[in-house]
Amino acid sequence: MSDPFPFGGALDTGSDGRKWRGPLSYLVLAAGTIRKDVSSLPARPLLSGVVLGFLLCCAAGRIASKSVMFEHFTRFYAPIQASRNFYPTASELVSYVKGTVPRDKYLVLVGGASYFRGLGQNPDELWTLELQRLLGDDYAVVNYANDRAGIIDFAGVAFEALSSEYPRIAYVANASPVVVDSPVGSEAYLSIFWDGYYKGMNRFPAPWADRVADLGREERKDPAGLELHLGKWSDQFTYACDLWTYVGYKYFFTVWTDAMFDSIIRARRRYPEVVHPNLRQEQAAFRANADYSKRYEAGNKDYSTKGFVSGKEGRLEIDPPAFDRISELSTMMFPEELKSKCFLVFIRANPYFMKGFDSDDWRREEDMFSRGGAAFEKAGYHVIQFRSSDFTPDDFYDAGHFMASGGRKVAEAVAHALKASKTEPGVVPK
Amino acid sequence: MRFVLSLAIGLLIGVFFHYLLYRYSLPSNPFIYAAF
Repeated sequence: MSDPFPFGGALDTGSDGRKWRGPLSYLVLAAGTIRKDVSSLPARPLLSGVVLGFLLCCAAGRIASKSVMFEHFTRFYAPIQASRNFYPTASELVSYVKGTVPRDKYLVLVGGASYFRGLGQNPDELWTLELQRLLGDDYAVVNYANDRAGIIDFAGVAFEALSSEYPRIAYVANASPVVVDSPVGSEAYLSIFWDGYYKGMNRFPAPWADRVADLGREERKDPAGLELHLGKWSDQFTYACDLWTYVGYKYFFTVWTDAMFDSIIRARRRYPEVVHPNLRQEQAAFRANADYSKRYEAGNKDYSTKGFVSGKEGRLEIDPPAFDRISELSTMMFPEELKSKCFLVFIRANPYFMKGFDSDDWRREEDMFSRGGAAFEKAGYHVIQFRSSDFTPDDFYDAGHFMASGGRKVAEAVAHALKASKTEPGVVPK
Repeated sequence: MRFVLSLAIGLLIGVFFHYLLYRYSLPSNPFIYAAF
């Protein structure tokens, strides 16, 4: 009889003359035994168990979705970011706020990208802590900014859902004068938007709702988009993402993540936020890196041409239709009733990486920010602007993220704008 | 005993199916982190 196994046959003869089984054959024998035993089990209890187990998980997921999941939360640091396979659901984002912020507080929800997540700031230097201090006890600041998130992404979904729960609410996010987000957000965070959508958390009237429905239909034409929508549609019943994200945060994580190789299954809540003692040295390293400098000098130059077209004598001139288009498109970013509660902060780049700017470049830069601000304000948003001289190179960690000092300047400007928006016209807040 | 064992295995399978829904929902493309 031929030997089917690579590490010894079903029965081999050892050097001592005794018959023995190779290691792999034990595994096959065990599998065969298990298969025989399982196939002889009664079917009805087995099937009932499958249904019961599934339904119990659905119920557990619903309970998890309503719980206050995060512990000692200040921001979405590395282990609880999408880059580490951690995707909290829209329900979980909303439930945390509802469970920790009293309804009579003025809720200030901070969104946007790593600039507002505080990359470049240690936990005790986080700009939103300063914002909370400046605003006082009547306000509650929650920082839901996440890496690579646009205005709508992630925190924007929570804002839409919480707007009906908090009579006094503001949404603050970093923005660009020449970038308009889709009302459903960007690809990286689409799952959060549709999670909220199919759970009925961000339903608003036309025309926003019509635009969102159109975008959903477009997405479903693509196999990946269809899969996403099917998944999120079914999750409104199963709450699978809520349960297993909750389990991953509280008890044990189940998804292999390259960057978390030190412990595959450690619960994410058990990763403390790390203090970076060498931010100043890293700041110096960015400045000393010739390739990095060249890349961002070129990027900043290119950015200063947005909204301009070639005119007479080859000079770049403002393109008014471009900003009309920005205003038109931005009307769809948020539902009409939420726009007046949105504060878009136009952040500036690090002037250290703008050394090649001549007077024309600076003029265009200022014009672009001014025109872009007017475009978004025309659509109904608040815009918080800075002057190019408001920040020094030392306020930045790298080409765009703020150190503690830069974060404090942002906090001051945001606090002033929020307080000004509360007062009657003509009354200057203290 | 066989009833209980059958039910227990069924429960585990049901839980596993629920977990699979979560795993399938995770993006297949890695979230490319880029400092910008």
